[in-house]
Amino acid sequence: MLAAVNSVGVNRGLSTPATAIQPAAGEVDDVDDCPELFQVRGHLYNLVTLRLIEPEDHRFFPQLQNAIARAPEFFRHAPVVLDATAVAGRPPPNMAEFARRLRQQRLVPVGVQNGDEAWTQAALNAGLGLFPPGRPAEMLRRQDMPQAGPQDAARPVAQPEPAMQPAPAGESRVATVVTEPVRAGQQIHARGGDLVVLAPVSPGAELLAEGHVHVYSSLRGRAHAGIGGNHDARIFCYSLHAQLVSIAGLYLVNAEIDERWIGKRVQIRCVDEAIVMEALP
Amino acid sequence: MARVIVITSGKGGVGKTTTAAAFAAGLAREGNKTVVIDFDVGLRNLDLIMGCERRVVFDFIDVINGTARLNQALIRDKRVEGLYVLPTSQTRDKDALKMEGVEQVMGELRRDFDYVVCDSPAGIEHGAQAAMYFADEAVVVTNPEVSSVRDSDRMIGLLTSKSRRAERNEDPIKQHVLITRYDLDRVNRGEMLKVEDVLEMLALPLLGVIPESRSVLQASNTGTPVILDEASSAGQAYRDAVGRFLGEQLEYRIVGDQPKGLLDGLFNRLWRRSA
Repeated sequence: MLAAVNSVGVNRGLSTPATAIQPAAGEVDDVDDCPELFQVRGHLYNLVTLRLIEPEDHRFFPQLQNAIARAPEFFRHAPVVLDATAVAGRPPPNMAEFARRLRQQRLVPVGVQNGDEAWTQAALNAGLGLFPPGRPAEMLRRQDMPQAGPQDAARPVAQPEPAMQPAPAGESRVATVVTEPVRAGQQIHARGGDLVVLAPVSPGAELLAEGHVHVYSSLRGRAHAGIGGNHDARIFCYSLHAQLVSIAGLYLVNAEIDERWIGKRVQIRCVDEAIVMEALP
Repeated sequence: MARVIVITSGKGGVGKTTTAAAFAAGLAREGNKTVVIDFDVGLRNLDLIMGCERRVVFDFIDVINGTARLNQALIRDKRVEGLYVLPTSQTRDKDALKMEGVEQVMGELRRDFDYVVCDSPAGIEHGAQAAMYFADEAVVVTNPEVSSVRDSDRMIGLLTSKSRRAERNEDPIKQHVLITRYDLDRVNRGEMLKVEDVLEMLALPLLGVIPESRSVLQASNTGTPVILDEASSAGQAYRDAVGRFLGEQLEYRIVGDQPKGLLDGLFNRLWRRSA
């Protein structure tokens, strides 16, 4: 069974990738002076999950091949997380071999989730990552999987847009409107659409929306727009004091927000992997 | 049927018990039969502030557990007619507040009194939730500084969503902010938040501003609700707050512990409470 997974694992506390190359002593003395060579970012990804039910069955890979054949572009080079929920009590297969056979199908296994000790160890030994449980989006029925098309072939990143929408296909995006102040500790999630708040948002409150977040008052808490991966989502507010803002996983904390926007009427959007702020007209 | 008022805050040490004592005494002085209940099981203070700690035989927990009747645990205040105290246990903890027992006691008290004032413990856990659950009105006690305001904000959110009224989809708890320990000098120096700042963040009607005052400590030392201290600025502010609660229109006079004569002329003696 296939389910799309919204992986939020990298949103906070990203550590720098482990360097494979160790410089010789004395070779790298200007590390602190040289310009920024990388940036740590949070990002939300939709990943295909392969929920394992009978991985040892000799018909597993033939059946998988058939599934892939029905929507080859959907699966081509798709990063895949192996969900071990249904098999966690059983000993894992030879993970290196399993991964190799998945790659033969042109899937890219990137990690394992919901496994036990044995699964965890097998995953690490095979160079796979460990994913947190994650939040499943709608189950994809066979007939919902997208047909191959020219636009999919052009897209290098395995994020097939049509299948990954968190709201069921055909449902219009309805905005959620909140008229009372959003207090510390409260979290409002506008499912599938925009979130409109007509009252102040306190520090310690959290707003989430797959679409845009509008706060026609002061925003002092956290606002996450485009949480399904929509980079076009925006955040609008009348008075910006947010502790954190994010669009499709790309985030800025209050300390990183330019002084001149604090307390102002601001529009926040994502342009070329960067958060951009503009005055509201 | 009584109105149940919870005095709460989230943050500790902001003046909930002082306020609960003053408020209950104030309501009783206006002719309302009032009981004030200590919900801070294990860290009880209300009996000290009310000056009845040497007369406690049975307590709230005894009544919940059925080892005593309510009228055996209620203590009559000796100074104010119609004022009663229901102290709590010093030896047990918040787990002793079984909700069915609390509900039963609240039911009995509602029948016999005009006002039931619940002195909530600090925090947002079981003790505070039990204190707020049956409330009709809430006084959110806040100091004019950021951490108190943030905790009050959290508490306001809980009052809106986790009370019995909320669960039954009835009219929500009527909430008010009471600013306490307000020091005019520190506000002028920018060390403390202004009243407008606090209200902007909490977005609730203001019941009153109680100035920082030495008389509060004296009151607690002598076991007298500060509202009974005629000379105290804090006591006067509490009288105004009770007046506003009961529907009177009163100007807010922001006074400090100034020697008499300095501010008398400047401030709103003109706007004393009118009948």
